[in-house]
Amino acid sequence: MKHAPGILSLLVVTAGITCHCAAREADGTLGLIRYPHNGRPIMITPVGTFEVILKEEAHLTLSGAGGTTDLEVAWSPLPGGLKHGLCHAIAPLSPGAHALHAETEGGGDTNIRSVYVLEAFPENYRVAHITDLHIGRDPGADRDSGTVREAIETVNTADAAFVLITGDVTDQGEPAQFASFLELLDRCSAPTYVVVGNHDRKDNHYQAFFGPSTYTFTFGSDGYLAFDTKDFLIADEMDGQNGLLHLYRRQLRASRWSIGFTHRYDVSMGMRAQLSLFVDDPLDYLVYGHYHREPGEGDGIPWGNTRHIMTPAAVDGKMRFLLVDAEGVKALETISSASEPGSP
Amino acid sequence: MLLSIILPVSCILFGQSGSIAYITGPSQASYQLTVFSLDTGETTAPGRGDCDAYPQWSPDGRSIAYQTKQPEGTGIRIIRPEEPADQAVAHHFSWNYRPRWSPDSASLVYTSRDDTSPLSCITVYSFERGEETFWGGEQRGILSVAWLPGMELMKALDPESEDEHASIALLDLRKEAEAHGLLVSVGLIGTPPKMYTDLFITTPSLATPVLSFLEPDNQRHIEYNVNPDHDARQIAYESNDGGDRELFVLGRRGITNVSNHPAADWNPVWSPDDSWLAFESFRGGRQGIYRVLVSTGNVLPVHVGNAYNCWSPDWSPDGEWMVFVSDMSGTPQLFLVRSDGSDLRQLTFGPFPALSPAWQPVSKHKQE
Repeated sequence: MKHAPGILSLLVVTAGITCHCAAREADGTLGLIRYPHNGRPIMITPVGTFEVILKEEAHLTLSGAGGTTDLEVAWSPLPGGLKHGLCHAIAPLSPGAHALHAETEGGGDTNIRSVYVLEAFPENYRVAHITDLHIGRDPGADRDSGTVREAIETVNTADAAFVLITGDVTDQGEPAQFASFLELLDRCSAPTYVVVGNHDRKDNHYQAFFGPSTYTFTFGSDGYLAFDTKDFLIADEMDGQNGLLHLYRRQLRASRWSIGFTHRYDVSMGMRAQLSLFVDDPLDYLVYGHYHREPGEGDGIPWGNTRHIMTPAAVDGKMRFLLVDAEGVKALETISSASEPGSP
Repeated sequence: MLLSIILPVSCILFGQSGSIAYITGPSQASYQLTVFSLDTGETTAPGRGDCDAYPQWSPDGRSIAYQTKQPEGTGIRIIRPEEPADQAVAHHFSWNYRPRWSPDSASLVYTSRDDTSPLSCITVYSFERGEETFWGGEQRGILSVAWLPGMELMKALDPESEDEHASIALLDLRKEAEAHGLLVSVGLIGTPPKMYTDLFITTPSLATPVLSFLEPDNQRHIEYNVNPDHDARQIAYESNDGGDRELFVLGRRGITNVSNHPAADWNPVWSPDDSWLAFESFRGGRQGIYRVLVSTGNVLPVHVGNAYNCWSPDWSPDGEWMVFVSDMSGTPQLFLVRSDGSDLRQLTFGPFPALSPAWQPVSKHKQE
């Protein structure tokens, strides 16, 4: 089994933390660079191409342990005035975490931990699942950030290929809570993929810090699809997510395993989304949290063959590792985030 | 490039009057029912602004029903644009979803449930009596419901050609329908993990699954989004019968796949003269607006982009125009286009998404 380079990544992460003030806007919201970022990074091989989305065209470089590399970018317009860039490095990239720098005449922006370079994508790998962090729930006792810090330390010693963080990252969706979450997130040596939870919904702060909640990424031959279950009791079928879910699900059709991750599953969520993801073109797996407990009788998806993986809350000191291989996705037993992970 | 050919809306230019109701707001929690007047170009926001959703004009064009948050769930409220106060429907259950008007604008139907179960029943609210009644007998797990404005479709279910028990059930259904009216709904059948859906012809005490009756092997399919035409001669719905989601029409002559394409086709909406269905399809790569002539199955694009999505089409009362939502300018906004695809115009330019447009019908008394 091939794992991400631990010490190298930690060095880069440490460097990233020291320059955190230069990343994003001063308040931590996304700036010139809309994508990639530390809640939705890119994983590529040393000679891989990748996509970026910026507010305007810019000179782009990547900085990692091997130094700084210029990027060649083919720009095209996106709806809403954003710019899409198809990038490739002028020289092979060094393995590990990289920061993406964008420079325009009007200023610059840096997104640390936004590009991860792997020598190759392993066939068998481990994924960490952390959910329901509720940063800000108990600020006086530091219980929330303490348990999350421990969870991230556990990930850092476990050679996880990446981390799925399935919502309720804050307790009230306040900007200061998102900023605290970012500080904890950047302690993680592995790539971190975030989706929104019901506690993160105040105004549009989540979108300001992390952008859209509906996206895909691939890891080798496996496809991952992030989506927002919305407020399931008043499922919002009016906006554009349903169309995106259909399109993204089709993009992942050729995947070895198709794995959805979201904050929660409830049979009352929007029916259109369920038709796309569980009926017409069923995902192989759905990973979620929200319920702060182990899965029990009656949990699961009633529509067919999508298997579900539910993990208790990080704020309660719980997390889980998933083992992905040719046999499928195996949910290892829930662990206390302060302890060593179970062996696969 | 495309934006440069979008014309600003001038209501006088395209000869439409009335209003378009829609939902807008910075987030789902603050979505508000809003009305754009095609006569004046003015916008008003009569909704509560608390998770407002799914505006529906009454067929007489005088009222808008919409779903909004209430203290212990979701409720239905009614707005008459010329009156200052709106009206809350007094509900038995906490959660009430997606109102649809009766053909005479005298009643509403919606799905309802309490806090103990995710399975909804059918609720009919009479404005004359000011009370709710529950339809469909014991049937639960209703996903959507609409009025059938007449008995014409009952002829498709010919009891003489079926077995005795079915014939008796259909005769009972017909008798009750003649006395009280008729609904069509999409509801759940089966138990997890082998659940599917069917269309139910529904009266106060009965809910009869239609497709299971007409085609007993249909149990592998998931039907959704049912829409009767204005004369109750045909029901359009979508199904995964055949693999990808397709549009089907159920009429006296049976069931016809009218969209028939490997890409998914969604959300059929009848034109005012019941000859066309507007729908969303992914056959152009992205989610676009199309129309199909139901009698021939001839599909024509209305508006399709290669870098953006379009959804939620609705027809103008004369069938000459459509309104739809698109993110072609970034944030989703409302756009108008002639039903032949020409003359694209952006209707709303707000900072927040504009969603779920509903074009005000022209009442029959006004037409006369």
